[in-house]
Amino acid sequence: MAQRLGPKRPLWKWTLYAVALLGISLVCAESTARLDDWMRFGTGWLETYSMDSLVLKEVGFRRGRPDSSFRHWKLNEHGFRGPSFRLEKESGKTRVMLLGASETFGTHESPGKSYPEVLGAIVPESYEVINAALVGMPLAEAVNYWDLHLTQYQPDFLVLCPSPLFYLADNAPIIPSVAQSTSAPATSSPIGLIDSLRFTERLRNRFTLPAAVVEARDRAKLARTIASKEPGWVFEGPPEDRLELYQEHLNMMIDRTRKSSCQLVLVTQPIRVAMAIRPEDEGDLLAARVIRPRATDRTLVDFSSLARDRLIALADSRSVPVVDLWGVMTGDRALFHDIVHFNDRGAQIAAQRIAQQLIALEPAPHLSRR
Amino acid sequence: MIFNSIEFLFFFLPITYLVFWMLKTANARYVWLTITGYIFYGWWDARFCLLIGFSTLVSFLAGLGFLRWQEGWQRRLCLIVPIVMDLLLLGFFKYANFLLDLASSLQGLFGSKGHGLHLDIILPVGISFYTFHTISYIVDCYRRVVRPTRNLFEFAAYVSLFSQLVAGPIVRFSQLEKDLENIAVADRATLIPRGISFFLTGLIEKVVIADSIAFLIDPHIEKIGSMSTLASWELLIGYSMQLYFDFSGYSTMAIGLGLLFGMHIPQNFNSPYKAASLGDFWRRWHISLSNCMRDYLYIPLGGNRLGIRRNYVNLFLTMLIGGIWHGANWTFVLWGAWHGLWLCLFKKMELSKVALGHWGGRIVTLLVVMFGWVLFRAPDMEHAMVWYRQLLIPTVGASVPKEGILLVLLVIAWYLAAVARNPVELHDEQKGWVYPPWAACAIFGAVLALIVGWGNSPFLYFQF
Repeated sequence: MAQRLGPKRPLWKWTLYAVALLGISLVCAESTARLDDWMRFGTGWLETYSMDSLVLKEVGFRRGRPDSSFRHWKLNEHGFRGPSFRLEKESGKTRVMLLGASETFGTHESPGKSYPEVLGAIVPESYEVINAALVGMPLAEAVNYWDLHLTQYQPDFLVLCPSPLFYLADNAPIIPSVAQSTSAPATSSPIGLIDSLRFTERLRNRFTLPAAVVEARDRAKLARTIASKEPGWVFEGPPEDRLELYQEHLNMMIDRTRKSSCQLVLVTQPIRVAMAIRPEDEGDLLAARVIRPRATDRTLVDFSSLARDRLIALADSRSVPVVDLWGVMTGDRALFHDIVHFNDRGAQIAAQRIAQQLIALEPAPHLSRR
Repeated sequence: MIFNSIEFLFFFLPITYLVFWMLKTANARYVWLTITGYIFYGWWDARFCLLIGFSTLVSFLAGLGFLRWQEGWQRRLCLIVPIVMDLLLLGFFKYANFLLDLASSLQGLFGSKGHGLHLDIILPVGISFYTFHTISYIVDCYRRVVRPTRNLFEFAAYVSLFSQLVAGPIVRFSQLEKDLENIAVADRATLIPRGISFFLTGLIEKVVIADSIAFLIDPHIEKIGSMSTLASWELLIGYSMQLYFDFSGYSTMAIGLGLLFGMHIPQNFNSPYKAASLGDFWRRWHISLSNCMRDYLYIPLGGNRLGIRRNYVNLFLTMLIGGIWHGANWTFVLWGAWHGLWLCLFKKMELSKVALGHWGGRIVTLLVVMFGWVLFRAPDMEHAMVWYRQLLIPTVGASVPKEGILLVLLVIAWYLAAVARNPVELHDEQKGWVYPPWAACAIFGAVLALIVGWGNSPFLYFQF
């Protein structure tokens, strides 16, 4: 090896040589990462490998891509997290479907510890728990998802944990149109070359920047975003129209589930940040504001609280059972990974609360006969 | 810190290497190797550096004693005191709870209530290995096999040499003495290519082969009771391969790292699954331990010089103690006894001129070794018994998921272990070859993808 690296080689040749060797390393690293993914997760050699690879776009909604996987997340033949199951419900079983975004899908818990998985383990055997949640799914999108896809599973209970913070996005969430008659574009979103490399994905997953660097980067990004907008763009307080919209979408879900003879159970979404913001909450709020730059810290917290109040009031008026996780868990930093995502302990508590409610609710006889 | 970690590959090794070769004097290099050895070890738990330091100092002083006293009781004292101290430390950290549990069980056997005492002791990584290093030095000095060193840093560099510190090979001072003396004039240019080649081959053995097999078999060994007979055999073969490539990989990396710093660390594995008898197996598996057991235990016990019956007893006792050295658990005691018994049987067959033939010998040896690995892997006797039952009584049960991939891996592993040339034959100084730069980069890229993806997987022998 040393004999070939003679000292008389000119600099440009050295550089070219080094670049070629680096290229060989990277090609081998990428190939090995793909081979390893195939061996461990069954991920195809040419498949895109990101959270996006779990998602299939249909007209008017998105759903999980059947038999897909990303890291330790695996979707079954229906595109749901969890074990394989038959479409037809087993007689004598009570089918419980959970619907929500990443908090319900389970992104930060240890394998097997997300709250739907814990729920499946602690409810009696006569209950069948299906996790139909999808990362990044706002309530507005869940309406179509339910109507156009999930009703075929005929669950006895639909446990819905909507994420109100989606309603603080730049544009208000709307229910996508399903009027188009064209066939569904079953593609995942395009991603860049670097992002599509499995080796770089591994590097990103393995190495995190120091907290101070992340914070500085987030602050700069937030400042840039706000500076590029017109004055008044930022929500200085909880926007009433967004709360109304949230309530309207909740109402629609209640109507749709009733039409399908399914018992809806609503869950309030808790947050790690306390109503009286503490210094330790600032990092979580900053990370949340990078995604929702229109909201101030105070707006985020107040909106979460008011959305909870609206949900409970609506559920009361329409006789829908509620599991108030917001009231039980909000502000307890030991239960969360970040502002909304549970850790193992938080997921355990959430599952226990939901299980208590489900067991207290006897499935209607006409439902369990189905 | 372990060899297959990012911090080792990108920070520790390059810095240690560059500074080492920038230093010009032997003493400076000893000091540097000592410092880096302690950093390497202290990365896991800095408190236990004191333990190595203490053990090193006591052995070094004993060496000075041997220089001062050529005869008499002082010389014997220099032998006994440091060995007793080393063994007491090893006994306390490794065997205290085992002995307490044993005493409690015996109390229960005689009708009185067991004390139930259990000490909260952390087993220092590699204590069995560096204790062996220091004891071998003391005994060799006493026997005048080596001349004790007067240079504390030379001795400290030998004990704390990071490439062999936590999981061997158990390199005796006499084997490194020449390299240590010539450390200031080591020829870097000839050592680097071979050092890198050895290191990369070791990484392939550990990260690509052993860890991939481990991923496929580990979760299922835990629930062996639910597996079918066929699956239990697949898991046993898988574990046999995993253990070999894990430890052989570590040893190969150690040889490579040694060469990068001018040290010729001896071969520790010589294709043991090619062995045609159990004696042959132990001349090929963990060679440095086998040699130590032979020189410091079997031969002092009398070896084969005191008649055939005593020879059997010596063989059995040596293997039994070898088993206990591996761990404070009844499974290791039985594993040692199992090998002791079979060594005696092979000896008896040899004396009775019963010939198994080359392939017969290889198959019987392999089966004996593999059945022994059940005890080596099982966390307790109950688990081992369940595994034996699954292996011997045809049982319907679960199969190993991804069975096809596992079988392909096992065939490749089997070829490399039992047919192909081993790393030392591959990179041999005279006839061997080294990786060209493009191949070295390709291997490093591939291994890096796995390390980054799955984190640092510790070596199986670290637990000993």
